[in-house]
Amino acid sequence: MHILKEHKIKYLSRRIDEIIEIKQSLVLKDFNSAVFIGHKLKGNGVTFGFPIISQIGIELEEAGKTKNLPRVADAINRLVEIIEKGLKDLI
Amino acid sequence: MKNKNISSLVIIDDDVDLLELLSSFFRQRGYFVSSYVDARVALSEIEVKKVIADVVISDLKLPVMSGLDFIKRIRTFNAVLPIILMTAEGSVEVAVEAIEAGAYDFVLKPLHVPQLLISVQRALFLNGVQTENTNLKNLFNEQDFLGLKGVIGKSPGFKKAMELARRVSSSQANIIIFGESGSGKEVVAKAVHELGEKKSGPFIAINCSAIPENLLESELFGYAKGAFTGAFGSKIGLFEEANKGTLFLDEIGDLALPLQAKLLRVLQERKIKRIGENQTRDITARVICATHKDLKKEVEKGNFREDLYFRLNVIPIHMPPLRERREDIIPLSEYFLKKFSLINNAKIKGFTKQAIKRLEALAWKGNVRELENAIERAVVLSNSEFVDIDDLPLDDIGTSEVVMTSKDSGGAIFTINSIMTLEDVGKKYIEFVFKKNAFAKEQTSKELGIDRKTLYRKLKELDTVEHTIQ
Repeated sequence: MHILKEHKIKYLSRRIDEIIEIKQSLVLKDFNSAVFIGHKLKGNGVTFGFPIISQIGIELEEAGKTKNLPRVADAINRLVEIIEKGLKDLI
Repeated sequence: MKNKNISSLVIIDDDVDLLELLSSFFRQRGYFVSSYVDARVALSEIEVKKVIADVVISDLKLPVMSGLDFIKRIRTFNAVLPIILMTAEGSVEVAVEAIEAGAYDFVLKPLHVPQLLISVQRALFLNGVQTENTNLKNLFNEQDFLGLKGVIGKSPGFKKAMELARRVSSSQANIIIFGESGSGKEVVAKAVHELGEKKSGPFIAINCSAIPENLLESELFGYAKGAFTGAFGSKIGLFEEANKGTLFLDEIGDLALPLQAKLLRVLQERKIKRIGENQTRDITARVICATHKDLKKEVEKGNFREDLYFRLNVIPIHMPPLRERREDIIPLSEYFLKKFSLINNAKIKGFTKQAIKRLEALAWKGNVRELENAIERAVVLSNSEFVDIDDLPLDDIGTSEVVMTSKDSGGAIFTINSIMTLEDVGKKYIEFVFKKNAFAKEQTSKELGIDRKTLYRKLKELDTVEHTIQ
């Protein structure tokens, strides 16, 4: 299915707010946001044409469930890279 | 207000991106979409019918009310609305739980949106079939006058007949229903049956004019094995079949005199004998008769036994023709429109003002039966949401006649009207050609393309005075 460029841009932009949300939660040692957002990314990444985001979502959800901070941080960093690259390509 | 022909989707997902993507996808394909991030809001709006939902697509994992809870709540007030669940949890247990809770389908995330579209289309088809089925059931279970289904009318004449039917239903007195063909005599008979003590028994109806005399006797009384050639086994008659119920003898005025005598005996003694048997059997069926003829005149002419007339005429009920109860034309038309729209799957909402005027203006000589046929025809032919004047008969189809004659017809006229049967038309035509040929059989058979033997037989059936003229 073809996803419109505007949908893709909006999708990637919204992920930035989620990254901030996870980081703020982690400061309080709260991994729930990582689990919840990871689960969401797992479900919607492929649909918007970003299978790599779904993959990161799976890792983020798993890392959040096991409260593995280094793995959560790694997943977030990779997500930031994907978003930056994606937006650059689209805009 | 959305157009009735557009399907409505309700989509629930706390993932705003997906919600927007799906909304946009389905709107582009002509769907009317209402989207929600909170299942509770969707639930309350569906419940109070603030939003119309033909299909619901919902995420399983939602923050406040889960997709499963949403389904369970919906099912408390809507048993059939198809709900498609979406989830990133791909386990069999979750899928089974969702289907058990009442989900129509279960799709996995990451979503393959065209697959979701197929699921929605199938759900809509299912919903359409279920709705149609429910509507049909409702229509045929609709209780109208006196709490009876399909009994429609508000005119004083109709109400009087039905009120009398109600009053006599609990008695055992003989009832005869008078009324023109198609006026609803059987409806009255059924009302007497449904309102009386015999309602749990069968209602058996037979048209005495439609069955030849010798066959009618065996139909009514049954026969024993070997009673006549071809009686290879015994057969119970309609009097016995209607035991503990009602036997409705329509067109009793056409009953042959020998059978009238037998019927009289049955009504007096409440016993019958099967043909070819000596044993008498008690009958418990209530007998209701009906006719379009003036039985008093038939008695005077010697066509109907006076004693039977008095025996039957204990409580006469007169069903007025439709032209004498014009207030019933529109309620009946609306009922038939609903019925045939459902049967033919036509989305017809009603009649235009002009169509209503025409319906009210026509004479309806063929009575309710003619009206019913006209509405069925209109439903089939109409290509808009409202039946218009063009979809209805041009003039009174009950009286409209086609007259045919020719220069050399010798004054013979061939007349047919639209409520004649094919058999009647055939008989009329034979009569016309016979007269046209000055009753010359040779020429008539040649012109009709049938042999003389067939012509003799047909003329005998016609029973015209002329055919005896050589």
